[in-house]
Amino acid sequence: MSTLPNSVQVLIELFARFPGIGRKTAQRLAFYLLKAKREEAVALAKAIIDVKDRIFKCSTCNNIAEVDPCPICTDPRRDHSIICVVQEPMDVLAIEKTGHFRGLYHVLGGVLSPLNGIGPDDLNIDGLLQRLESIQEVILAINPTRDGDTTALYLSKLIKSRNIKVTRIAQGLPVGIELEFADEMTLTHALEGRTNL
Amino acid sequence: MILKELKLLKFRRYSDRYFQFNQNINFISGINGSGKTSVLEAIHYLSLTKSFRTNINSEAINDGQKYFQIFGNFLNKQSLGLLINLNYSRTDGKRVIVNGIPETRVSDHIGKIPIVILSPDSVHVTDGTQSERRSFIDKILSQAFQEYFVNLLEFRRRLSARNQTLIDYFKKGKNHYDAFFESQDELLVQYALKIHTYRMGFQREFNLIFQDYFRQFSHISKTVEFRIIPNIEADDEEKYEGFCLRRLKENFRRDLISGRTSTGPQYDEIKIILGEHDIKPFGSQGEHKITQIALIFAEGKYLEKIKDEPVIYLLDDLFAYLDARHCQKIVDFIGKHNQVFITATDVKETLQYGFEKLKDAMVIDIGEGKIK
Ligand SMILES: Nc1ncnc2c1ncn2[C@@H]1O[C@H](COP(=O)(O)OP(=O)(O)OP(=O)(O)O)[C@@H](O)[C@H]1O
Ligand SMILES: [Mg+2]
Ligand SMILES: [Zn+2]
Repeated sequence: MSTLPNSVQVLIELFARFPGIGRKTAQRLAFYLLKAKREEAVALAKAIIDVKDRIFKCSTCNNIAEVDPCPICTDPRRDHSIICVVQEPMDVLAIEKTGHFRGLYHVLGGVLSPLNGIGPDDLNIDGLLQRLESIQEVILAINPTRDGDTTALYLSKLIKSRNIKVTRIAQGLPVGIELEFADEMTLTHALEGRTNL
Repeated sequence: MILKELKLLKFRRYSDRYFQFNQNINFISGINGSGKTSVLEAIHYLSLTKSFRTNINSEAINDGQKYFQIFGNFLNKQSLGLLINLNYSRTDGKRVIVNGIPETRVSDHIGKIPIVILSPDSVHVTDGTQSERRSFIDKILSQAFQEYFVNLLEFRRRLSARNQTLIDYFKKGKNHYDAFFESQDELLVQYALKIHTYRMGFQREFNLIFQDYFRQFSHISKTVEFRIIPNIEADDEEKYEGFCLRRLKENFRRDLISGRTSTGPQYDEIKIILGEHDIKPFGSQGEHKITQIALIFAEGKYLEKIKDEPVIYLLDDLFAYLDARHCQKIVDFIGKHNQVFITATDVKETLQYGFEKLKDAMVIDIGEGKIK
């Protein structure tokens, strides 16, 4: 290990911090870059800087975007009376791919998880409640896990107390399957078969 | 169920050891510290994926090694083989492989090899704390019903999440029973109800078996009862969730201060009533022992009934714990139909108890490394 030049070691260390990347893979990635053309490496570096400099969170829906508010929130062709609540920006992507949802989104940024120190104040819940005025239905697209179930129940209590219809997609999703991994067909069925809470 | 062969690799003091067993009685003999209890511990691992004497798996790894492996070759009532391999390594944790296929969840494995253990700790069933008594029924029900085990785990996780929320709220000075607690509790009580229902059903069925054994083994003319006093007393199960929710809400302020949820099946009490009295404070030593033995048999019988499969008995240090007459009775009784493992420091001592008459008994002398 110590025979590696310092700059290579640093690169390996940084890759190894990525989710799902172990030391071996980190080394492979680093050596790939060593071999790659200079332009390729520069393009990668620039892409990384761009996402950090140009990507913001939409102040309305909390999704990632280059402009604020994001294109979904400002799209007049979308149905502004329905909000689909999801855990992470990746879930927005998964649902958009089905092409079956034309409402707006709200990204919570996680689920309520007391054992991981995440309570109601740590999620973007107030932001959601502030958006409810002209809303007719809220769809909860929250994973059917232990924490997901608690979060969905909690949100439904808050939203229903304002006389707004709340539904949850879950039926089509096998228990334990995360939204982001569900295929488009499953997700489409889940959206159509949502249940009233 | 019968364990035919056992192989231990880097487990406790064994670096590599192979055992072959008899289908009835197996005496595991050897001097103190020779590794007798470790053999029972290994069998316990194969059945319940854990030890009965420690919660720290790495303690069982042979000193200076990185992992241990246990292999067991079992045969069930239908003569189907069950090859179980349990690995534990400091870095990768635990893995259980059955006939070549890895178990994905612990709950899929528990109950495949029904066992009953009698160890010096078994005294806690009659004279230990409430939590030790609850673990007696939890261990039986978890082996008997996968659904119970899964519910119990989920209940415990939700309960610790609730306790953590109490602590967080207390720190932040939030002292209202709000929608977050309401949501957690509505889900929690669903699991509480499942546990409650199973426990009450168990009490009914188990008592009949227990009382029967108690009569057979003792000349005590008193009546005996294994009684569960549920923390939530609801006259019918439909009302249970509602009662439980109300109590959770009523006790909220108190729980907030203590940081612990004081309502639910985690506080069910278990009492063994002998004659008119609770055995814990009032029972004589002899009454305690007879009751413990009757409970162990009843445990085995109950499990056999539910699983439709003979259980394996692990009897650790039986002779240190019971007198000759009682030991003989136990071994005579279960040795006919079940496979039994008994540890003893002195074979001569066991023979002196009259066990040599049992022609099927096998003596495994680990102290000298010989198998007779
Ligand atoms: N992880 C380990 N590595 C090596 N040796 C160990 C390990 N754990 C325990 N031992 C040794 O194994 C012995 C204890 O084994 P065990 O409890 O099975 O003995 P035993 O035959 O049941 O003894 P007793 O008759 O006193 O009950 C002790 O000598 C202990 O030092
Ligand atoms: Mg011992
Ligand atoms: Zn937006």
